[in-house]
Amino acid sequence: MNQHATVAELLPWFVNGTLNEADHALVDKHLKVCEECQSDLEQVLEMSAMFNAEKSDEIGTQNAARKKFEAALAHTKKDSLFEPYGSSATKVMASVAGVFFIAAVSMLFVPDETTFTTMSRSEPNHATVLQIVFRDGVTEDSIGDILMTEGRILLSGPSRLGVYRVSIGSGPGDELVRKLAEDPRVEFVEVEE
Amino acid sequence: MPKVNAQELQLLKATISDDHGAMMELYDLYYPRLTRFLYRLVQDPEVIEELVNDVMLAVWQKSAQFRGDSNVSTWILGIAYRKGLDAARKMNRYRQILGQFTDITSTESASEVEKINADRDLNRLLGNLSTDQRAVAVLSFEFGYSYPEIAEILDIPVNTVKTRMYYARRTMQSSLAKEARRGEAP
Repeated sequence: MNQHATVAELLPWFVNGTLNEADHALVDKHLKVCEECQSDLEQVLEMSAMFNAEKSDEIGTQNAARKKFEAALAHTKKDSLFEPYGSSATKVMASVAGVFFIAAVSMLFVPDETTFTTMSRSEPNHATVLQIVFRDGVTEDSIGDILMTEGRILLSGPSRLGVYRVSIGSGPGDELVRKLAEDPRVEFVEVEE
Repeated sequence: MPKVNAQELQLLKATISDDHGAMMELYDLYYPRLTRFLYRLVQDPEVIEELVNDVMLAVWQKSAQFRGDSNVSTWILGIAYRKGLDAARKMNRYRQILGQFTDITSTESASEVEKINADRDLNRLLGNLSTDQRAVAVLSFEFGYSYPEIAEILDIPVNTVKTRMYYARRTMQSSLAKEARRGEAP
């Protein structure tokens, strides 16, 4: 990228004073000789002024919000699987765990050699199943975004080793595996044999 | 420029040991900043209070996950950004742009009216941006974060921060120019 374009990109942070020494010197030097960037700087200063104009009173009432928060805090456990406003991935995992539990209990009461149906979610016939492991630090919301895309069914997970099993319907799944492997959030993905 | 804040770090560490008092102190410290940031992002004042509490409950629950390799503020704002992004996606942006603000009553002083109008103008300008662009603009201009810090908060590469800012500036500049032309029209 040429210097002019580089400087143009850095102007907002030149204005808010957060550029490192080298970048600041670069911008400062270029501005002395470039009228176009000087004009850009004026625009950025105008925008900055709008953001930093004297603000109206704080939005919302801190006292009321604080009381609600304090009450919620008293009932919120640390490291709970269930956040109060729950991520979709957590809810799905809890649902799957619950279904497996009910199925396991149901099987205790089933007569021998009787055909029965369970409430558990069976894997669709001939469905391709992927095994996915996410990188450390990936948020539950991000995991949910990947696992809960239309057409995908979360079958189980995470296992003790952090493996999620996801049904993606019929089809070889190679293309999806390639795409997911390129996702920086994914540590490992392969088609289950 | 936001620097490492020893007090905030101490408070966050205390919350790991289930210190409710420390958590409430952290809440009081962050309430103004979070309401301002989420308001800019989501542009609906009615949901801000619940969102702020949602963010701080997540901070409480996840405090043990804070690795200490970033500022407390970038970590908390990262959580706020993800919660705000989810909330903004669910809303109709056109509805947000129209009259989501408090009415000006006759008891408002002239200076308060000016402040409210200035705030409303800025929000209208920001309403033309995507949520991602809005986040970059607000974190830079209003909160004074550097572009590497913004990259950390939003969990995106630094070049993506610069690109989003470029498009945000272009859109805002275009909106300002249109408003100026409207103002000049007979």
